[in-house]
Amino acid sequence: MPLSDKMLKELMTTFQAELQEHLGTLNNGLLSLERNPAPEQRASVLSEIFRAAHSIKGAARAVNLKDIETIAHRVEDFLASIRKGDVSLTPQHFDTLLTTVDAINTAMSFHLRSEQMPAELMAAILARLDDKASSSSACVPSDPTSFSAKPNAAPPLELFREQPQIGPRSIQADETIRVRTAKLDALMDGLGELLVMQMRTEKLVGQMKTLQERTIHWQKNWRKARPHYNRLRRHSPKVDATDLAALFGFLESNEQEIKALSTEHNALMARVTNDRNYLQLVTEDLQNGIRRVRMLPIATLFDLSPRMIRDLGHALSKDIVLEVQGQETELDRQALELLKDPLTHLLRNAVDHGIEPPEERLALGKPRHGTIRLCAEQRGTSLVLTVSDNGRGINLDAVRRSATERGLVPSEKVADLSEREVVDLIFYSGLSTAGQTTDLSGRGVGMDVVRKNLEQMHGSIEVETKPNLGTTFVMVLPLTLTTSQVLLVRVAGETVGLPMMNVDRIVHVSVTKVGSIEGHPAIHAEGRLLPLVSLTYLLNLSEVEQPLPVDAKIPVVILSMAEKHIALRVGGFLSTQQVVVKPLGSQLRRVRNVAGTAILGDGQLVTILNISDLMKSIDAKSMTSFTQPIATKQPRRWRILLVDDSITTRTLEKHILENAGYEVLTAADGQEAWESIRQKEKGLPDLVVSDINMPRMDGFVLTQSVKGDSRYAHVPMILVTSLDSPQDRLHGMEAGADAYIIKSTFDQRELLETIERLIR
Amino acid sequence: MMQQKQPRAQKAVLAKPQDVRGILEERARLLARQPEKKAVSGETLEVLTFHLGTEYIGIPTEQVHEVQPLSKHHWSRVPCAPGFIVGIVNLRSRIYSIMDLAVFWGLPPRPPSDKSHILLVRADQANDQQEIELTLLTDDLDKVCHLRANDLNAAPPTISAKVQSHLKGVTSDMMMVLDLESILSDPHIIVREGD
Repeated sequence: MPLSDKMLKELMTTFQAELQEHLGTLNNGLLSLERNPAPEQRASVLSEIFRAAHSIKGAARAVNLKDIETIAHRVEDFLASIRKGDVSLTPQHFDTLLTTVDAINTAMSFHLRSEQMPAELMAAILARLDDKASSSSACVPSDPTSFSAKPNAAPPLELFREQPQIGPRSIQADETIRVRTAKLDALMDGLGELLVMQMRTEKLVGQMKTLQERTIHWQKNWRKARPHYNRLRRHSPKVDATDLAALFGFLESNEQEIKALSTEHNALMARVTNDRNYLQLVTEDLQNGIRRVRMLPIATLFDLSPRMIRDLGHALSKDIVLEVQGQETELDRQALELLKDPLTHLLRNAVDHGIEPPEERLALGKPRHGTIRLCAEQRGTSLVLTVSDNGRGINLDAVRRSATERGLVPSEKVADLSEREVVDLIFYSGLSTAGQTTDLSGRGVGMDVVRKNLEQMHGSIEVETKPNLGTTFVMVLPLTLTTSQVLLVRVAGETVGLPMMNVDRIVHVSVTKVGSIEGHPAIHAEGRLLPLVSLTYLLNLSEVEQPLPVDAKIPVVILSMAEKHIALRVGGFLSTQQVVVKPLGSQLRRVRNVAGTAILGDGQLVTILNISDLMKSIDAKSMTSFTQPIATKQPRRWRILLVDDSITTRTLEKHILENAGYEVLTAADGQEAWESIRQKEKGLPDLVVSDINMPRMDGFVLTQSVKGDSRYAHVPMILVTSLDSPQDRLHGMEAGADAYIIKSTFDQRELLETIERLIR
Repeated sequence: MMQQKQPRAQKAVLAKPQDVRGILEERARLLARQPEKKAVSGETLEVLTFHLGTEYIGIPTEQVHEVQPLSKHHWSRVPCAPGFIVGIVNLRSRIYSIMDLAVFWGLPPRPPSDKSHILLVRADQANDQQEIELTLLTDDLDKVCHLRANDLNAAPPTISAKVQSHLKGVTSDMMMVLDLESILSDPHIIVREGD
């Protein structure tokens, strides 16, 4: 019976899904057989893959795909003979069978393109299958678009690799269904409406509570009037008895009615509150449930790895064992997609560069086989994904060399880089330390993409490497991509959101504490002077920033992204919230500075900003567009008194402090410093930084003198010295020093941060 | 408090109660006249008319999926978006952009008022293979008219070529009838300002 086109199309889709699942079973079954399991397990795996081949044969026949049917048939026959014991499996057989599995996939791709797999290709596959006894490595041409058969070289690694990867194993095939992501997203939207309804119910409950207050108020009034009522009743005044009786009757029934009303109202309140609570529970559950439907076990990602590692290992003649842990951990679908490439790259690197060839390993006293471990773990609201190997470790010298060769780091600076900084260099594009780029990796474009993908998911990646012990990559990602935490701020009368992951700090900066860089407002933060940029200006929201009174405090958000910091002036802080960041609709594909919008609980829309764009905008334009002089008197600079007997040290420190925006006075010893303080001609310094070992008066005595005098005791004193012993520290503290910094661990940041902290 | 959801089939023209009566009466009148009209000139085009700045505009009702008063919904501006984007609106938890055609055509922007409405329109973009949905801002809602084919004239030369390409034609009372397919397939309405 001829099938209608529509029927055929639907059948094809179903067949494709079924095919992927069976191919997955075959793939995993073969891999597990290869590892030589116990006899009972072996028998069951064999049955499983036999059934899979059989099913493929039958299904292919149903949709009239003869080539797939034929291949599946041959595989089925072969597996049958193995089950019977007529043939025993050799390593070459595994290669053959696995590549045949790939071949079926290739055949399917041809069909999807409405083409037919070329006859030569088909013949080659069948020949290989029939040729089981011999160990010919006659290669089947790899990609379907070019049929130049490769000469007898190492088995092509990209064999059938262009095709869509073999699908994930179906854990319980009959218990799962495929759902389009768009449908799930629509469900989430509907849920949004439910939440708005919930908020309205909340409001209703609030209003009911207010009603309750009315009855209470009534009862209070009645209690006040009651004594009068009682008196009147007892001494009925000279008025019409029936009038009085009616009135009294009314008052009494009034009281009964209100009592009844109050009781019923309370009962109703209780019921409504219950319903409200239940609604909240149900909505939350539903919300979580729908969110989790988008989540898949990470096994769907990990499943691709064993095969890849095996093939790569064989190609490079390395013996590698892959250990996988945490496959059941679930992750958002989108995140899984974005992780695919980074994971592939990291695994390839581990095989290619990390694990040494077996002879080398044995010579080093390591076990012959290298181990790569893949581990997924949920920690709180994050997923931690680890890829580690016990191979060579990253060759830091090679990285250093490559960095200077490619001009990433000038050669003088390279030696100064800490180990951590050197390791970090591998994430820069264009850096490859492989001798020659192999087919697999070493093209130098991988690691930066890895980091970029992770940042796109609001995640991060860290590396740890020890020479000869191996390398570990740790990736951290949020479990759901759909929601993120944002800080809501007011800007020019509007509310906007800033992603919390980029927010370092929020501060209220007193106007008097605002310094300047080249005439533009700047504040001290992160140990240096950051230009203070107005968010209003940055977003082109208004021409004029409101002027501030002298004693006002400016709300400032310090944002950071990949080591860069900016200080943004905003109108005010509102709150932090967990929101779903949604795109702006099909007309607004990309708007500068805007990441998307979020719908708050009450339906209000809030624009969420794109921090990367903001930073670029600041870089691109000049400071004048964004910084507006705060409309008050010009603040004076902080004054620091620097005391040290070494002229070199004095010059160096003065330079550092002046660069940070301070005014610096110097003294060559404690006595000079003390006299300068007592003179007060130029006014008291705001802070003193002093060495300890000095002639005439040392740092300890200076500190004691300053702190001992009530006129100067408020001036912060920082002792900077090379004396690092507990007694000296104690001595310094006892003298009254506010901070004690050791010169040997002395670096700019610590000093500047301490000053920033203490200066008032 | 809870908004009654009008069935789609009703071609939901959600206007104020006092307007509804007027619209219905007009419709009844026109429907009553229709057979006679059909005999005369063939096809009629039903348009919803409104003001936008200084312009009087008609949009074929067939192409309008929804009409909503702007003040009844949560909407916000979008910083750094081009001037013809008034902002974005939340309609039943779906986000749509709000476009001011007048600004797109080069006229100065005006702030929305409480009479402002938004018209939800939709089209498939053949080249992109993606559906585009957006809302068009109106300053108010006027009435529903029926136009005959010969009511539409070519636009006078005072109207720029760009605007003309967005119109099906202009009536004798200077009502500009929109060609929605043309507007929605104009690549310049898409905002792609990024890297």
